[in-house]
Amino acid sequence: MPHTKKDARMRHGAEPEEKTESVRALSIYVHIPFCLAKCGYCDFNSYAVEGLIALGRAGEDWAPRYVDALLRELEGRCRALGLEGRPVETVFFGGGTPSLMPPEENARILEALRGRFRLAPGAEVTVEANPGAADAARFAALGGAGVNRISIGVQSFDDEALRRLDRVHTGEEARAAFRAAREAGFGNISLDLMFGIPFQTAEAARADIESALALGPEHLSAYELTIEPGTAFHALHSRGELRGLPDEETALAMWRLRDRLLARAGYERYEISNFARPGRRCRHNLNYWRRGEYLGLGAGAHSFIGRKRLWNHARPDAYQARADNPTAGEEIIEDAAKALGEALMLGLRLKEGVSLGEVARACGADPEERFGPLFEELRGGGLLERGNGTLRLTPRGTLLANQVLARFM
Amino acid sequence: MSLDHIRNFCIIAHIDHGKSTLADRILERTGALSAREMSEQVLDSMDLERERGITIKAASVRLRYASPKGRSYIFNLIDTPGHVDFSYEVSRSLKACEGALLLVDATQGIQAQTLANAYLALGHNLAVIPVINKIDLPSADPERVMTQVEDVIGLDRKECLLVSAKQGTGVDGLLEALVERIPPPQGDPAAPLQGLLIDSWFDAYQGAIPLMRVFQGTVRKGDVVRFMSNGREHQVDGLQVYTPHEVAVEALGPGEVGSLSAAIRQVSDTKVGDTVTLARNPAETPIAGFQEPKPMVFSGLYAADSADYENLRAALEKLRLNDSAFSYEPESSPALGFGFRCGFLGLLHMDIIRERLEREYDLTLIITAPTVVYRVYLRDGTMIEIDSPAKLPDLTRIDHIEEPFIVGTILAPAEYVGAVFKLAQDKRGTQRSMEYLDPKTVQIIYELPFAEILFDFYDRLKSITRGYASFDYEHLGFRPAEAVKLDILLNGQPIDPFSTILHKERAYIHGRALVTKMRQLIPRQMFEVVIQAAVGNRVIARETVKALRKDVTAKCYGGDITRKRKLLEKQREGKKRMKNIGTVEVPQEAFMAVLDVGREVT
Repeated sequence: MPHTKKDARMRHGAEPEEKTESVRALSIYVHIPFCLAKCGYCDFNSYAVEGLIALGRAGEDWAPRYVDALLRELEGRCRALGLEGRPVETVFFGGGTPSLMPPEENARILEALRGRFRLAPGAEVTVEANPGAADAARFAALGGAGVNRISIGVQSFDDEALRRLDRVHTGEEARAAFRAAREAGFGNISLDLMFGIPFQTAEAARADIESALALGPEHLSAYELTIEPGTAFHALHSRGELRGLPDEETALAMWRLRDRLLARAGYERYEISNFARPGRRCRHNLNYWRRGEYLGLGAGAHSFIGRKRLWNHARPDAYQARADNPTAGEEIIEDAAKALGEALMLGLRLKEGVSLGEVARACGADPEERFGPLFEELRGGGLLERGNGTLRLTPRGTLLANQVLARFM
Repeated sequence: MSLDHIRNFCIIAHIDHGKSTLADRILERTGALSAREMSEQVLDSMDLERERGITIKAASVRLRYASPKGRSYIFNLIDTPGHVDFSYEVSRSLKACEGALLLVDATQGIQAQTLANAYLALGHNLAVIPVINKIDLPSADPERVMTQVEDVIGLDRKECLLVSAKQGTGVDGLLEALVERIPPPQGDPAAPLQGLLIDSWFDAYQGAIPLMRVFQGTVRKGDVVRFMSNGREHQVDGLQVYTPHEVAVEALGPGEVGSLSAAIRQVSDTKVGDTVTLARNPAETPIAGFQEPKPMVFSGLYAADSADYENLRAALEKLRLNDSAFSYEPESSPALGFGFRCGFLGLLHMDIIRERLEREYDLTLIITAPTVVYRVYLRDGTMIEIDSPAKLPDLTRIDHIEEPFIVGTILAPAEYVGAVFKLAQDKRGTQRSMEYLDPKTVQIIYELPFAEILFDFYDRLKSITRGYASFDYEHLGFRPAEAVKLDILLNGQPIDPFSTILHKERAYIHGRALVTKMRQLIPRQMFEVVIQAAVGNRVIARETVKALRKDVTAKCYGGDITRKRKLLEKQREGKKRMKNIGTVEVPQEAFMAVLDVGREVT
């Protein structure tokens, strides 16, 4: 019942995420590229710690050494980009498996961030955790260090599916991880779920979603499995050896099932793959989709400051060797058309869409002027809808988002 | 003035029988170029020609030959195109000579093109010197080839010269034979000028440069020349011969071959076969045999990006300056917008023009299915020639249709006769004759519809005879045809560039193959795309491209933005390369599919 939801939101007062004066606020992303094992589908910049140790690219003291380097980068970036003292609304430890580090290392980073930036009192501070590197004591320590949101990479509760994905945990361990986070006092927990897993049926996908809902998380990310270049799955897929991928019909049924079940349980789909209870949208990710500024620290991390996108050396040893300035590449978005393309590409992922006026201000180019007839064409095709100075994808347009977004490039 | 010291000759040969190597060797032996200077195949100046290993346009080299017997001679080696698309140009080059070297590969023997060109040379009363090349190869069988020369062409086997152009064996004897066996030219230098135009090219600074062989009279710098086919006059700024380096000369007289520059604006004013004379003392009659170049194959050329229309027009204009055999006129297509209907001598000529447009002018083109010219006789007694399926009148108005025929000469080893018969019959051929040239070689002559040999006839002939057969043809004229128009419809709309005219019996199999191919090529899009093949109102094949229902990136966070944007940009580029026809995005390959399917199923 939409009215109830809206009322609830009103009662809780304005969410920090709705603030607009935080435009100049910075988000901080901290990348921890270490995992227990590398999963077949994963295209993140992550490495199995044991493998790195075996190759001599990391030692047993990998965590403190990596954090040392990261703090050197922080110092260098703040100086080079003049970020010192900027207000910070969100911090996100992603990976990899940030929870794999001793919690005091996360704490050391947070402490350093507090020393450099004005971390807002209500700042959202998230740490990603994977079941298998998640116990109550660890969560409690993270909470003590100022972390107030945990995002758990569950993917599935079905042991068979987890094995196919190369996950190193069971469904039961995933539940245990969630309970441990709750016990440690976390009131804002997100779960990552995946669907479209090889041999997964629509019924199995439903069971996963229901299992997740039974835990009562504040936030859910539910992604269709994507075969990304450079992954083990991709290699198999291109050889025709990745069997059991659901056909298009089944995959579409899973998308619809996901939306229906989560909406019924009171989760709003606010982005293509993200759902939240009222007031619990991920502010850190919203900043990406609204094309806000962020500083990415760590191996392979990306930053977007001013008009510049830059990214770090991906391999941890390469990164650590150049931590004072680990930039591997950069791109300056000088072209207003390109900025506009990005703003639409990101903003239209959000269910609320984009505010054309804000986009025009931020990009220095009027989207209406550039794309007016195209907007009309796509609206006529049932892919876009407009209202009140905003533009958003229709449900059909959401499933065909790439077709729509490519037109703005 | 005696012309005893001049010899004009050409080399006629089947493709790959070693013409360019022999030409190189002659250039080298006469000292025209040092071995170091020699780049392969000097006469083929265009990159494209070199890559394809064929000579498209004639050129001429003037060589000085010092005979060991004491006298010096001037040789004009006139190159000839080596493909049937250019047979008229070949005949003009032959006419400019008194003699020809008939080059035959000692391992392969006489081929269809050898035969056709030998007959052509003999028909022009040329002194033909048979030269058997590649005698150094282990599989060479010069005895057999000499017998063929005697039996098939009717030249005495004792006249054959045995040569290895690659190793230089026999080349000295060949040079002496040129002196001894080819008659010198004749002609009165004081008579009214008659120069036969044998080639023409465009120079960015000097305009069109016609190359001619003077038969009588003399042209000097400053003279005003007249082209007899169109009466246009131009003052001569300069005269040149090629050794092969360009050398300016003061005059060109009888027997000589050279070019003139006269600020002529376009090559199409200088047509191969035309007669050049002097305005102040013109010849009474032109040299016989001039023909306006006549394109035989037509197709539509469109810029993939319609914003390039003007660029395409400019490029065609420039190409036309340099190639009078090619024609174009504006046409418009409901599906493709504005473009040009272009005429070519054949498919090879078409491919060359397309490649030049894409490579030299950086255009991306959509080329529609090539068609021959049909004569359509209407019920009201009138006849129209159509060079495009779109121009075919309504069926109720048509009395009957005629299509062009050719007479094709096939030479093949005897064991493949059955396969050749089958192919020729598949192609609606009628046998005219069959003859054993020697116990191993059969000459089969067929009359065939030109449309049938347009696509893959030669390739298939080669493949069914393991590469041994050869083929040559001449145009015969028009014959009644059971032709129908096959339309391709996308979502119910006929798409004119996909239409083809073809034989009634071909329609079903061709239509079937075409829609299948198109289904593979047209990507899934937002709406279902129904592809149909139809003859008149009757749909004969149908395929469906299902609507795209899901194309969405599940994840996009801070680290993904640059990469995801690039992926979308790539997707956008892919869309730009497609042509929007109504609501359907059609990739360029689909237009080429019409060609490919033609190659596969006809």
